Amino acid sequence: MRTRHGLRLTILRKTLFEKRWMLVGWFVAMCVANVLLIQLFPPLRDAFSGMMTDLPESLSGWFGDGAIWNTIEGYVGLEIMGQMAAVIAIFGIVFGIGIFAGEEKTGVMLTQLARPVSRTRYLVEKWLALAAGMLVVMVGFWLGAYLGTVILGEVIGLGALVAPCLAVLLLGLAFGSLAFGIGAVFGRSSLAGAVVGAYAAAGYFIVALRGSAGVLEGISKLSPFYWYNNPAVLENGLRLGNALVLLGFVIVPPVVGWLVFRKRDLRTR
Amino acid sequence: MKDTKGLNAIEVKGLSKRFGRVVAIDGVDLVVPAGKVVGFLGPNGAGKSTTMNVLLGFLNADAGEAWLNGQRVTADGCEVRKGVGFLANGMALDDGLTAEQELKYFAQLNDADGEDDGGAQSLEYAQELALRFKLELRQKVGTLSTGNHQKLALIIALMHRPKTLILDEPTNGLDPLVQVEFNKVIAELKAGGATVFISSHILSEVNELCDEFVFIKAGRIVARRTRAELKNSGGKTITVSKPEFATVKRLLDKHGIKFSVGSGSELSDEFMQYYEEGGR
Repeated sequence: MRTRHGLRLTILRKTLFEKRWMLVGWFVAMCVANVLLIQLFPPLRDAFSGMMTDLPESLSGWFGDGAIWNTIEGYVGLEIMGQMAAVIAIFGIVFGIGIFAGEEKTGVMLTQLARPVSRTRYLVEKWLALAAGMLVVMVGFWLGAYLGTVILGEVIGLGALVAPCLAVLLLGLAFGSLAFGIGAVFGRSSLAGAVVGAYAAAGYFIVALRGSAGVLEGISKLSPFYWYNNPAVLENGLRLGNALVLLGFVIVPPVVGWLVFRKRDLRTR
Repeated sequence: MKDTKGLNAIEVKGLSKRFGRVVAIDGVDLVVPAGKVVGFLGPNGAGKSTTMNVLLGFLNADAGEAWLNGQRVTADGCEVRKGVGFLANGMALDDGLTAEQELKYFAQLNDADGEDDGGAQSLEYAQELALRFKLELRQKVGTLSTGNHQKLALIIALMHRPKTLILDEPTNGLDPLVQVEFNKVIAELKAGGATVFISSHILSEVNELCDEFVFIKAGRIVARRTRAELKNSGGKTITVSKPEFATVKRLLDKHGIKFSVGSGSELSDEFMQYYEEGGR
């Protein structure tokens, strides 16, 4: 990673270059999706704000209560920071699997590790590529959220969107790191995809519906979704405690992955 | 045990590796002296690739140890691979990059110490090899034919002029002209003091390249022969035409003279002795 010429991060740069079109695609997709979704606010406000006032508490976590549908902050918090954040989590999973377990599956990892590259360096640079890729896509997400409100004429400042977008980034990285870490431990992309996909989907629904059954409240804390938007991150900002828990979700899986990956057998096909 | 060894490019002691119930290699002892070209021969599943993967640190041995260029092989160690060029059987590369981009990337990876100005010397030699192997570098890896993909993989293994080359089926898919050029490159590297450890099913190829031959069967080394030993091990060779074959065999049998049928190539005959059903 470091030579006498300084930090070169060759593997990180190559990974981002190789995935450039994927990242550009997701950047544009997130930006455009957020812009378009925000344009739906006026008709949805008119349709839902009255309907949602009598919603039971158990369902308001899912659909939002009436007050949320009355303000642009409430709508962006629910639709963009709530539901589009799940899309970012999916991107994290796909990207986290692809750049590590995916390379082991195809054999490309082996070709690189035949060179004077330690497994530790390989894993660290790959994880940095995951983080950098997530950041690129999140910039698109952030811009889209901002431009959407500007086009609509109900502006939420760029600065006000920083904290929630940072929370979305941590959420996406939490799932991406988990997929990455499981890939590093087992070397199986399909296993990582199945486990993290099921964990993410279950967590999403459990957190959204936790008000309807007491038992779900405790279980929901096992998911990054619980710590991400609880309470609503756009209105209340990112709480330090929640951010630290999310950071734990981000850091622990790659560290566990590293401890196993540096010593285990690689897939040699 | 000491961590460095002297004159041998490759040294393994008591190397064993199982995959579940399957014993891939079982107590392999092997020494490849520096500067030699050694062929590693055996049928499919004999343990050639597993031995090579343990040598590179991709697989952990269940027992035994391995050294490359005097350094002990470990899973996370990268120093040991600095002076090594490795070609895996069916080596995978990124389909989305051009051949030229791949070479630049690997040139930079090879320059672990920053002594090669970001891999400039590696890249220069790689471009020379691409010309000799007639490989178009602007083409994307995903669109390369099997032969051209193999040429690129070979160049990646050779480009940093390694002290020790470990090649698993290096000429798979290469046309005869490129095979000739490949043999010349190996001869040049050998003349420069490099060691080459090469596995191949193409006996004529290793026969031409190698100074010594190591035979592996069912995960165990069963024989090692120098080229000179092979010449002397075949006994008296006589050529008999087909119509006379039965008559000659009957006469020899009558006098109790041992009789075996060969192909005319000492290496091929030796190979068949070990790997034919019931071979020794």
